[in-house]
Amino acid sequence: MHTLKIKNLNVLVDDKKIINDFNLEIKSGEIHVIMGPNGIGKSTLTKVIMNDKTYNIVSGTIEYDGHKLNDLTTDKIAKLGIFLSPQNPIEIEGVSNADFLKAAVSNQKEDFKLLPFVKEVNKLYQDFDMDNMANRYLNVGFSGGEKKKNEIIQMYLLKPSLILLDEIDSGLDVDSLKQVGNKIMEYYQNHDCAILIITHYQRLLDYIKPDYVHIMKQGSIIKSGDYKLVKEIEKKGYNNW
Amino acid sequence: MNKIYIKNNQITSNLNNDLKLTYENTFDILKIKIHVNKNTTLELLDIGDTSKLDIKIYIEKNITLNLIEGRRVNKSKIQNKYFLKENSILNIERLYQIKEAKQMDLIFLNEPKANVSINFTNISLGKGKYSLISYHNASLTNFDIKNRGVTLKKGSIEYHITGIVYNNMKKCVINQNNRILALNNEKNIIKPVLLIEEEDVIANHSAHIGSISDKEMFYFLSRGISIEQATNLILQGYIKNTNESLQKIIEWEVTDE
Repeated sequence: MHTLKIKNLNVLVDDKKIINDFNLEIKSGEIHVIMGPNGIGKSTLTKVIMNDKTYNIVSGTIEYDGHKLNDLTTDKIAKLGIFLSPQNPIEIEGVSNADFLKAAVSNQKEDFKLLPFVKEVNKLYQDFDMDNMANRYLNVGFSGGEKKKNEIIQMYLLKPSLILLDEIDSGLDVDSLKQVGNKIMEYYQNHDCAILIITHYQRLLDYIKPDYVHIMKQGSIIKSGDYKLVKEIEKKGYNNW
Repeated sequence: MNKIYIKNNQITSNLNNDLKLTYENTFDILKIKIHVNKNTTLELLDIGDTSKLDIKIYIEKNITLNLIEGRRVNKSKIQNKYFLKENSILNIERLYQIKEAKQMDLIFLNEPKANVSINFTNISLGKGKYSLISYHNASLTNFDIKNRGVTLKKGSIEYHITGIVYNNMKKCVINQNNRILALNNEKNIIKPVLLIEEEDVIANHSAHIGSISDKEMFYFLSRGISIEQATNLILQGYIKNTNESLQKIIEWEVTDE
């Protein structure tokens, strides 16, 4: 059982409070979704969990399995099994997907063996209809959808226990959304893990059914509920909360 | 393949009849002349502590020379002159790792349709100043350079790249692409210069100096890759863009460093 506990979190960016007395607890076997309008701190939250030094935590704690994440560097947090798929995956020229993945996976596996790794990489790229893209530079020239699929391939290879998906649905067409959504659910069902999804829209939730839905405004969760809340949001929008 | 191997200014070679080599050592400067009269490839490796070279390469009409140049020295002072005749082609692939460098390349595109392309990857561990002038002395001449430098430790790089097209030298093309990845806090300079008297010319230049951005580094870190590993991956990426035989020379040293 893995647990993320966020208590009374307050975060500043350029002297402006973006996360405001935020509280949340996520356990293995749970899928949480945070929804809300633009610019209210949803993406910031995922980066703060990974201790992105761009953000200034003024008070509060983030703990994962008893480790205080505020005190750890981002690479150490990743090694605890926390995976962030960012809204806009970065392009890195000169570094191939294969080299990037090899560095990431070999860091996390003491018994890393190259041949099984290569086989797994090739199979995953085939499964996502991205044959021969492992040797291309990291996300360079990839479409928006390919970048998001590349994130899910990384997730499968790194086998995280807490998955943070920041607008994984953006840039995906209908078929790709279904493929990505189903692959995330397949991973979830076969691993001891939890998922936190950040999204504006209900469409991804056709494939990934959340246990908890939270509405976030002005840096705080203002309402929580189950999947029915998604339908309410669809009807009312965010302005009526 | 033709090979010239220079170690601490002493030369050895293994050549076929595609080119003619003459050399002499005068006042600690190794003076080399190469005449190319058949299409060929030349691998020129320069290794050791100090290198002081004066190299002249002459390429005949309708001849192509592929020059693969690897240099791993502590201190170098080098002047290269390339003379190209009609419809001749010079492709240079360079990979350097130098602590202190001062280099001047002079390219003489003397007859129509002479064409030069340079792909230069440079890992700088000290002060490196690289100057290049391409003289478009005839119409329809092309010059293309891609400089990609990385600075490590106390390394810094200056690229001074100049293209000169005189009046009535029509339909010449110049592309200057310069990029420096700074992995330290030293000062780097790129000065692209285009001196063009003729109107019927295509000329482009670009210059970029930068380090690994915070967003790029965060992406590496978020996958459990440390700052040191990320830096090494990016550096290896620069090297992997170059010729394989050159990589063998330089990669050993990068690991060693």
